[in-house]
Amino acid sequence: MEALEMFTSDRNADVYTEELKLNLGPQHPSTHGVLRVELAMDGEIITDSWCDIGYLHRCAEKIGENVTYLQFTPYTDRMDYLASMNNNLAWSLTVEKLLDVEAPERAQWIRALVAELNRIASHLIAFGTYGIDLGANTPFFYAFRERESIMQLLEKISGARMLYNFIRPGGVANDIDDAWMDEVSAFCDDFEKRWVEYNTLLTDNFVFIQRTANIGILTKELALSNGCTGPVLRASGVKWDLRRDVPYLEPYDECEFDIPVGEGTHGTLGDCWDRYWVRMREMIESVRIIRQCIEKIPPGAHMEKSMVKMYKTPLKPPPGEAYVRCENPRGELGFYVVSEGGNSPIRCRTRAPSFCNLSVLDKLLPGTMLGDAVATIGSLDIVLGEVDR
Amino acid sequence: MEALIGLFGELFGLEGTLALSAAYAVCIGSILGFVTVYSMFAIWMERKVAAHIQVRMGPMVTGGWHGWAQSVADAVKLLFKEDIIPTRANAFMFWIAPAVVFCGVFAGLIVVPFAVGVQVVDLHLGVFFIIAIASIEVIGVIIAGWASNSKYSLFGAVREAAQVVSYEIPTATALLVPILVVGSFRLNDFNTWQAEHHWLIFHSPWLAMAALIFFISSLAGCKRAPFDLPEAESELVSGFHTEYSGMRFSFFFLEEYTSMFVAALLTATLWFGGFNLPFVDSSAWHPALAMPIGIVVLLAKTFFFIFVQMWLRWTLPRLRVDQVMSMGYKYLVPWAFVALIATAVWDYYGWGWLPL
Amino acid sequence: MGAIRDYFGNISSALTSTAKGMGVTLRHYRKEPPITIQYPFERFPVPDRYRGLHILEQEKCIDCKLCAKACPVDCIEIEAEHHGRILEWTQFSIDYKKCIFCEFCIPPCPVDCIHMTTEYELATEDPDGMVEDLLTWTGLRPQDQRALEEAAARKAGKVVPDAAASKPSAEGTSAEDMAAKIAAIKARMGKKD
Repeated sequence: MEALEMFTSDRNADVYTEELKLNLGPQHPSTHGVLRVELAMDGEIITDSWCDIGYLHRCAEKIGENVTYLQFTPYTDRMDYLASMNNNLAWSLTVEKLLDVEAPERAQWIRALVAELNRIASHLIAFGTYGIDLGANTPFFYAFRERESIMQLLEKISGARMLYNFIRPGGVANDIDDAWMDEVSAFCDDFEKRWVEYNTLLTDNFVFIQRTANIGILTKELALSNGCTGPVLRASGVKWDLRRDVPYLEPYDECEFDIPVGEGTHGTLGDCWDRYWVRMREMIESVRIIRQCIEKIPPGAHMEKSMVKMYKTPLKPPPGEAYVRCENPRGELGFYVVSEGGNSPIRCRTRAPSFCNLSVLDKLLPGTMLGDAVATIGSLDIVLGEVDR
Repeated sequence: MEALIGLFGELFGLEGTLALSAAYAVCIGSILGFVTVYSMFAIWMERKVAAHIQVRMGPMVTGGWHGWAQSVADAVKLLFKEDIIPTRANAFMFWIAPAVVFCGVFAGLIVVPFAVGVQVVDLHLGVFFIIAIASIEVIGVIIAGWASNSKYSLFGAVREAAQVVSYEIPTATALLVPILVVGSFRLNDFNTWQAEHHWLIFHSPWLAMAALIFFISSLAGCKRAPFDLPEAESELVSGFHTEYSGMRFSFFFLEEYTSMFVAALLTATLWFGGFNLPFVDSSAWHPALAMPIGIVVLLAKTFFFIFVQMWLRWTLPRLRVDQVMSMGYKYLVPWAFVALIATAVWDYYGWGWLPL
Repeated sequence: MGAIRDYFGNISSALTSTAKGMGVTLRHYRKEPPITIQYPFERFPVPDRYRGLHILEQEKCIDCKLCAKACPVDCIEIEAEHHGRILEWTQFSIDYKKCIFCEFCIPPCPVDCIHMTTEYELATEDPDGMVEDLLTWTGLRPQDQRALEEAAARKAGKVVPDAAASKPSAEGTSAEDMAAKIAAIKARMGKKD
């Protein structure tokens, strides 16, 4: 801004200044996928920004209208590929609502357990990549160490490392045993120690606080009007969590956990540091939920009996519509499905949290510097697979 | 140097200019060889240090023992890579930039005393020469950024210009502090002074502070994290050398690691006793014994500081542009001057700090 | 005063937090064992439930095509001619370019003849080679051939020479045979590399 005003922008003059258009992405180390942001730069300061999405569009919603209800489950894995379990869960709940079936009690507890494990894994990625965005490479590897443990745990029960396809309409694919739960609680013990270490290394680091505090301030009003959800909304001071407010699984009703909200500890409420810190504290809350799940998990079937036939004959829900929303690591994931009684839905729509959270980016960037742009994009923690679907 | 000239005279009967040129050629060749080998080792070391900090293993396969030949393999690969010059780039400037960048840092090594008598030129203004000649590197980087015709490169070059030029003030001021104590710009005098008295880091708290300031600002001069803004991988892809590949790219790499070496070496020479061993008086030793020990001691100290540089890099996040500037001007520059003035007062009254 | 306190506070917090962070990294540098492994030489254990490459117990398969119908990406191609209960096989292939390893082909099988192995190395230089044929044999086995001929002969009213010999033997169901099949898959994938 300053430089542009200091010199003339008249192009006929001998020396004139002009805006520099910088193309951040779609192939760029810090855009978390194939996001393209066009920035108008005045030196290091961003004067304007245009967000460009769609590079990872795979017609997931249209595919949903052409495959059966069960067959769409693996496609939901591939939307938010860092939190497949949570996506499976949302889709399964939607189909169950359409069919008016409820998963057995044990299945619900297993679902909560694996969903929270996956939430930790997803937030670990957010933590690690945020460090990389700001130039600290080491936290990323520490985060991946713990994520690897989670992936190996989930691999043991689901058979895949990332795209689990574990939670299915009617329950979960496989039952879990006590040995596995012991491993999970061992992981929880280990993780709590590591979490303290992350904070020493990155959270409390002076340079890190300087880079994130007072940067990319998302006000409560802006967050609400743009439909931001999840940690992005909570960091702006709104205590809204579907697990508490609309408990969609039994365990969330029975377990004790807190909803971390932003407090503006090192700067203004709703800045990058708050978003980061909300995620970090959510990991510890997830560990609490996991501990209680392991303690309270009831015996029983892991899959509703009437649903087992869905593998051979496609599910045919009665005509109607259903919308179910779940608290994903990134926010509120909703599936809207309309059935006409056929094998596949006639409308299958996803409300992706990353998409709504990304919509505030253009409003946060102007006035900040290029390094802040990277910090802001990282703090929104988007997954382009979900934004573009 | 003189010894070499004499040696050429004895062996081949060379005299005058001829002997001088031959001696220079040998010296420069050996420094060049040393820089290449050192850079390969430093790159391997960097990868190992990074890997061990990040609970990885780093290169393990190439060459057998802990992947020692990884850098050699990389160098061979870089040599054989296609030499790409972007179509819209200014080919001549693009071509000359890596050479300019490398020359500046490389020339600084000429005045460095590795041990008693192991020095190409014993300049009276040795410290001054290193600081002055290292500044040429900035010009090379700006040429590289401008000639690449890429916005990311341009950003990197401008950042480099602003950062390195700003940080030369605290660097030079912090260097003045030991110079003030010793009373000479000549690098050899630091070695002799510290052999006679004590290591300058223990001279007074102000010298320790100057050492810290110099170390921090030399990090910025070397473009090392947390000041690696000109490269800033997550922001500028690769900064000023985004468009470079193959051998030209490796010149930037050589430059980075050589300037790290020079910075660490200056820290070791000016504050940490140079090639002197602690608590041991080596002045009476026979040159044949003192020379190898001196080289080993100096290199050990240097590599310790290089390790600290790497350690810092893999710990800290990167600062933002304006924060780098404010850190330089608001924190390092004033404190460097404070250290300078306080040292003057301290030495005028002849206060002691540690019982040395 | 506040500004001055901030100034010195910044210096001290910068130095202390950096020192603490360096403590963490130094502890990792010196004490923590590496978590990575030298992949081609050593591997992480793969759990039994892993969803890897498929194998088919061809003797059991009845060509009901339920697995192909269940597949979300239509990657299974099955072709066989029915001679009563005996099948003359042409094709049972999985296109691993398409396969997403979702496991939906496993539960529908009425005779439990398709399984997933723990084999996960799919990398190949030849994309065309990624269409994997799961058949152990194509066409008719000798005993099937004989059985068919006998049935035809019986139909024509001729005397069957030896009834016992015509029974299809229960081969290819033991654990060793499964292991051999996995080895064959490995060998085939290995050949393409």
